[in-house]
Amino acid sequence: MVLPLAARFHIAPLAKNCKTVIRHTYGDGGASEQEEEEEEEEEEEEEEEGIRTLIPGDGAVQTASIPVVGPSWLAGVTKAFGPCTRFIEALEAPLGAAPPGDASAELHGDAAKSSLSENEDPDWISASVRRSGVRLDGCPARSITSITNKKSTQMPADATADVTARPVHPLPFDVEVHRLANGQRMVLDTHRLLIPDIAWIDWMLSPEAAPYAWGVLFGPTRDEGGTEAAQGTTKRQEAAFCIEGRLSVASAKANFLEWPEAGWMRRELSKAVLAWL
Amino acid sequence: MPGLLKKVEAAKRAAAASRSLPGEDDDPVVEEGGLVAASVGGVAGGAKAIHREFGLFLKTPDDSEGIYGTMIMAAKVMKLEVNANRYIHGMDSIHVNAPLSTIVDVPYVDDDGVASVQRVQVQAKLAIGGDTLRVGSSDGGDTIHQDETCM
Repeated sequence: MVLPLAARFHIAPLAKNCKTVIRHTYGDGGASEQEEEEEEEEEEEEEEEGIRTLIPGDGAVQTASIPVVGPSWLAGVTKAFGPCTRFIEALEAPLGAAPPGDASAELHGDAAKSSLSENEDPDWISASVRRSGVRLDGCPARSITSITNKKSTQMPADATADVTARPVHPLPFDVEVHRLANGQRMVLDTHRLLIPDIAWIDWMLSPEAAPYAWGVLFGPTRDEGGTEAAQGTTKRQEAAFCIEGRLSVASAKANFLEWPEAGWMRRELSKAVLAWL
Repeated sequence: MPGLLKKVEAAKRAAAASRSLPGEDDDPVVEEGGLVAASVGGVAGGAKAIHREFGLFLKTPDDSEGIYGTMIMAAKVMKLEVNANRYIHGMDSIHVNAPLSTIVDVPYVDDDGVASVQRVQVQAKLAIGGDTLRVGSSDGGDTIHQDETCM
């Protein structure tokens, strides 16, 4: 169950289905000519990729009196949710710099690949990949940044890049941020929140989960009898409940995040859990 | 409760044909007892309804798009959404907020006499619509909005 599942952890880029990008602007903001040129180049690249960029009118009127101090709330999420939010850490990385926990090095085969040895402190995702023996063909962090960060693999790392030079990262998939008339930002549609938490895979591969894995594979079913079956609970059921609970925790921890293929993942896991029951 | 289900079913059909905003005075699709089935856009949020008098926005799980696999899982993620909103409230941030929301599981007996439970997510209705969207997508990723100041 685990390996085929992990093997299908390929996460398609978020932009693969994106047809239009609408950028909300609030005046020129004192942007320099160089920045404007960069924006034009970026727009051209996006057009080449078949993504249409729209800047609505003269820009919406910014009625907010709330100071914009950067993604502090994202930092809070990162702190609270731990490994699941490496995605968010990646979002906060400077343009061109390798995001923390970015396993795309394996995908792109760049210089970072050689620097990633087994003895080094592995990032959270590639550690699981190594243990499961599955090649990582997709990177969630890169997927999230793929829309506006296409140049990231071409530009040299610049740790001193200005905050404003970061690409604008859309929230994953259908999660929305609305700006109310009073300037308040409202996060909506945090449903469909399945993150196939790597910690969950770690748990599945851990000794702790071995009895449950045994139960799933070899435990008696309800029809086959056994003590557990007599008590109304089989090892399979117990494992299934445990796995589902773990999955729920993973989902709850990653409430801000969503992968394009989360729907598929949820279907597969639902089938698996229900099949075990 | 079956009345609500009928309304949301009508809302689902209407949502497929049209798109309107919950915070605006658009023509209601179905209105009875203050409950309006809202044909709000979105792919996976389920069927929606609005109670104008109480200022509530109601969502029921729906897996017509096959996103969740089962209705059980569709209902499950509604609970997760509420958990997410609670977490955002707990952050007590001046920069971001989420609608007040809760989950109500309503037992009922349908016309065939079968007992069942309908999960309803109830939110405070906000003046939110397509013109307030700044970051993310409301159409399943076809159109993505970006706003630097919101991130």
